[in-house]
Amino acid sequence: MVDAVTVEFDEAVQSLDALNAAAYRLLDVASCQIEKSGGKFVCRLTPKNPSQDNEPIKFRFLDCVTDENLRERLASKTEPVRNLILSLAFGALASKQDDKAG
Amino acid sequence: MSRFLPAEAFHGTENAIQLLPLRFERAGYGGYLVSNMVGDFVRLSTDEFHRLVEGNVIPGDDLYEKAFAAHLVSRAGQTAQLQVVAARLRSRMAFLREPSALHMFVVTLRCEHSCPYCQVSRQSTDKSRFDMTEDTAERALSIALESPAAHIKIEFQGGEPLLNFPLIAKIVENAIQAAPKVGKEVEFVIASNLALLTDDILAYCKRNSILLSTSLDGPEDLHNRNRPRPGGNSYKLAVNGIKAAQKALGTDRVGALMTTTEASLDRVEEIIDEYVALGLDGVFLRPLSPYGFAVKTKQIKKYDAKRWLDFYKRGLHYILDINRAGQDFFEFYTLLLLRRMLTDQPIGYVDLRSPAGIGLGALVYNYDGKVFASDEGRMLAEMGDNTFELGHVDSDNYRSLILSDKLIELVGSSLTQCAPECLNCVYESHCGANPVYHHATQNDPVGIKPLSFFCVRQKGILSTLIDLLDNSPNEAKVLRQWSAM
Repeated sequence: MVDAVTVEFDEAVQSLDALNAAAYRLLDVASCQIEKSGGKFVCRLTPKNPSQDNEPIKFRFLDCVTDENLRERLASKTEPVRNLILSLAFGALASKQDDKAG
Repeated sequence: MSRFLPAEAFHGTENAIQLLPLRFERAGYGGYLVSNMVGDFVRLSTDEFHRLVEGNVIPGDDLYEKAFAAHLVSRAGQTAQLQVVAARLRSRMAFLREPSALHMFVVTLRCEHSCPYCQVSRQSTDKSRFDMTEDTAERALSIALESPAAHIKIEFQGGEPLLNFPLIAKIVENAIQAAPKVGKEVEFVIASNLALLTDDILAYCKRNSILLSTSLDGPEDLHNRNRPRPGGNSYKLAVNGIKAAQKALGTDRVGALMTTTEASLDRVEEIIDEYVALGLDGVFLRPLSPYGFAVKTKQIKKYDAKRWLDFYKRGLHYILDINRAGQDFFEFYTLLLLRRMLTDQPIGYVDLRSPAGIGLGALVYNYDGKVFASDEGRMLAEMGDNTFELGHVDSDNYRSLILSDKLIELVGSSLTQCAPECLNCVYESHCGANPVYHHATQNDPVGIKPLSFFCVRQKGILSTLIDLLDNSPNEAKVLRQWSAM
């Protein structure tokens, strides 16, 4: 049985989506099981390679979570301008389709 | 109305600095690689990156200028920067305006070779069962001519298509007659091992401007080992065919593709030398595809993405040396990616686009009349998996194939713009959804990207190219020239 490493996050300040995204990015080296327990998200990381040292996996996961939190924040912050750029790029095509439909 | 916005639209505003959408990854050197919505890359130190995402940039601090030039920041209410990004994005996606430009006709599944990596599961016997009929070909051609693209390419595939050359000639003649009536231009390619090439076939290709595409895996021993046939002379026939085609049609009318087997991995320089010696203008360093006999004979499991990337990098450096010594010679996949990275041309290469190229980029008419969304889709069907079968020439037309629920579901579900990991991947603008590959390898058209050879390969190649462009001026000069080809 391979030893798992556990990392906990406060449910009040940590988004589950970011944890899931970080766990996904780690799939090549570890499987991650996320459970809610007593106001915390408990992430249990099991290395795919039994001889793999747990510490680097833990730190990589923490980096991934940090990055995913930032990506989430940036996505929310830039969503209006992203939609504006997309509408400038492709809005005319949508209106043409609307015209045809009408 | 003035054609240009006033100068104030471009500078001088005191409005708040606005962050534009960006993607990022931690880079090996300790900083961050950042890309904008159209895939321009900029390297930032950790401090610069944090200042940028927190909006702590001001004109004159260098970072603001760097970020503005990279379309990462704008000023609230200033539209010029957004218009530029939008126009570039629209240009990059313009391939969608020419749907289904490639139509592949599998005129026979028979082949006289017996390659252990054959991805199409060729057959060696039974002409009546594995050759396309004239009726099927006629119906397939009418579907191809219904597609909206003004320029279409018809590619003849096999098996070995020259085993059914009379049907090729029939399709070419009918297409040449019918295409102008529906306002289309049509181009033809025969993908052949050239073993059955004759002077008459070459003369026919010359008369009808038909391109030839063949397979050459490298030096004689390697090629013959990879591509066995009775007589063990595949290499000799391929090389003679290439030379004859170059002489009859012109050097730019015949191209060759190689497939990397385990035996190729230590021999990339010899493989490239073979292409150079034959006067070919480049090589496509292509990994094995996970279909057909390549899976059955376990060829596909003989090397991993890392070993292939080492092979690719060695080959690329060797090719760059050839260029620096004064000879133009390309690695075609690299050239394609550089055009994606350094220009805003619409590149509709079927494996490197999202929405995926299945159906929207190509349709495949199999010998038995079944229509597939891609060449790899029909390869899977020969393995008993009909996921990418869209219909049949007897009962479908272009519209019913393209608007089939199956195709819409497969394309819609595999968009990299919203697939896990891909949506935030710094390389997304230069990558593509590859639902057939991921279905074949992971039984999931979206793909589990951290476990995908395709993903590792893409990231490996793109990071290599960015590194060369940023840090190796001599190599970068050659690579920038390629992007303009």
